[in-house]
Amino acid sequence: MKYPETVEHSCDVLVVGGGLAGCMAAIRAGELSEDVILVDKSNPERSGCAATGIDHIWGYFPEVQQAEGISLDDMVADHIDNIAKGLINREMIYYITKTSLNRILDLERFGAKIRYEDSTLPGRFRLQYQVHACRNTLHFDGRDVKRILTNAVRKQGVKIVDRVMASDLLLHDGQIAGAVGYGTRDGKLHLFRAKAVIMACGRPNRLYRTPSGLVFNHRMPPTLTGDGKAAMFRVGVEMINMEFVSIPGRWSSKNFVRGGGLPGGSYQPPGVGLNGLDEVIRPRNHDVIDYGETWKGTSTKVTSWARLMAELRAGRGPIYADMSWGSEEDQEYMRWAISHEGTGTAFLDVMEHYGLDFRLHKIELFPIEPEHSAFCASGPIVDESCQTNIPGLYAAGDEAGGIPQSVVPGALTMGYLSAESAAAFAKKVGRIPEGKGEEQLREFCAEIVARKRGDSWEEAQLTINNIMSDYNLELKSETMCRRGLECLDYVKRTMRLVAANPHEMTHCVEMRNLIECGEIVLRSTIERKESRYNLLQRLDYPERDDENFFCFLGQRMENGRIVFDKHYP
Amino acid sequence: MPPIIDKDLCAICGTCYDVCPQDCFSFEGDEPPSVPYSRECWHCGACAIDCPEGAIHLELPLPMHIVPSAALYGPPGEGEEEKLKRAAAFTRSIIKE
Repeated sequence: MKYPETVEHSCDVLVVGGGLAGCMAAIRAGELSEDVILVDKSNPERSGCAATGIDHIWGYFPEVQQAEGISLDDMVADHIDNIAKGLINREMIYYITKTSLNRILDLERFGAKIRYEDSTLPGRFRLQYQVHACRNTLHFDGRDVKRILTNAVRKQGVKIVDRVMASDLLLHDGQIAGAVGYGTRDGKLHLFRAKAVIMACGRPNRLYRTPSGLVFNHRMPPTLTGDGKAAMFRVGVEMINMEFVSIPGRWSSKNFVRGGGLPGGSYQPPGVGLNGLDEVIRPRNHDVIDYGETWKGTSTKVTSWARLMAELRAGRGPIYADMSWGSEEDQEYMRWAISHEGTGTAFLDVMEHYGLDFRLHKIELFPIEPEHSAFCASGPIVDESCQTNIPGLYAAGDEAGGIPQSVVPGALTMGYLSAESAAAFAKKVGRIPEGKGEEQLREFCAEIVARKRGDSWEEAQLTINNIMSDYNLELKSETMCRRGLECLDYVKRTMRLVAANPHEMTHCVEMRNLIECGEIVLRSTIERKESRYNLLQRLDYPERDDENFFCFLGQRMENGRIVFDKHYP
Repeated sequence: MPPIIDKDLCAICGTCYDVCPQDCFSFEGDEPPSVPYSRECWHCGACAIDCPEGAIHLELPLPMHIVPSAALYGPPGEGEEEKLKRAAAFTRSIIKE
């Protein structure tokens, strides 16, 4: 018998990854196609970046924004000019901005609470400023949004295959034909034959060392190891922005790394940021914002990570968020917001367990691990229908490249759009094609199973983290990146992974994908011979070069060779 | 040692095993789950949130402890109270009194 044992599935539309984008894609595809499968490495009820919550979604709220004199075009222009600095898929950001509210209303239809009695705004929404120059970001009860979405996926009749990690794609005559994955619990190879495939596996985390040294102490889910991007690259999908990395990703509570906007900001208007000398380095909101009824401005001027880093470098660290003051109502609002965002509920529970209290204790902040973040927008280049350069293969949310800070609206709207495109594509495909492409994964797993002793996945993980952190962060240059590539290639050829069970085998397959992603990152870094924003700083090319590099740098594999192309948005 | 299960409260339903994104738990169906991969915990708290019996809480490995630091910054200065109230109301989308 061939190892591993194979389970076959077939469908019209396959959705890979059950985060926000994948769930929304599955629901919409389920409305338009007969047979839809959603495959997830974990369980969509609590998987992806919104696993235990997302408390904010930006969008265009016509009644609110029009009263403040801001049109849809104004908001799109703000995003293009100020957030993406011109380097963005313009059609897609327009679509995202225009339809975000529709998807928010879908969430309400599925059962999410998004309106509040005490709000005096039209629609009774709680709207905050966040990244745009207006208040357009809904605060809502999002802790259980993944459970709500998963229920909607089930109601739509979509088959959920959980605990399967899709890791390679099947092609037939250059067209998508499905995917193959490893069963993280059953240890079987799962072959998905499909007419169209939507990729929604998110970012590659776990490429770099973490500040605490603990491999899984990440802001975003450590479950995400770039499996989708690695799979796409192997079949010739063109990836852009892979050279961009946020160093550090952003700031979080020290030691217990979590997502969410500490200090102050929308959470706690009376909160302040302090340095090690107890000087205020981040004033209370009202000291920097004029709260007129038509207030305009972004939150970035009150929460600049660079400002916090400058304090550390000036010898005035550490940095704290002091949120001790405020009425009971303010404290309650802050706790409500934190509990619905990221791992906030766990954070509050842990605080209580260890006797910590915002009234009595300030919280130390520290830079987190480098991230291929929402600002980087790394992934396949997609057209206005979310399609990649492979016919029938689509990407949505963080999986797709070229739309910086599309975040939750990007996931929800592109999930929806990719499903409409994929369903239409599937309708035109007569019968499900017999694709090929599962052999690499099968052989990778079979070799590991046959081995009696060798290297643990933990050793491979640490080696990858060391290579990426040593050669692709502060000391980045062409020669260092080339050495990084040599090292990754050495690891790939030399490691003799062993796995005692499917759980360990899953980690081994992750190592294969992390190495693939690391190689793409280093190659693109070498190719972009400039420094750009705070996402790419090279020692050998410290200046920005708009003449040659105001573009998306595309990297793809063609007949076993690496090809680069420039795309001008 | 992150997720700690109170075996007296556990209803042996397997919810934690079902939802854990990191697949830290092991569950056979006849006794409370064990946590063989606690070192791989993301500390997302899904298990604690979804446990119908409230039988799970998270404990932190030492490198993840939040080291206490006394909050020192005092109440707002004179004349600031009204401005703060206005800012707080704005935050909650309450514009008119």
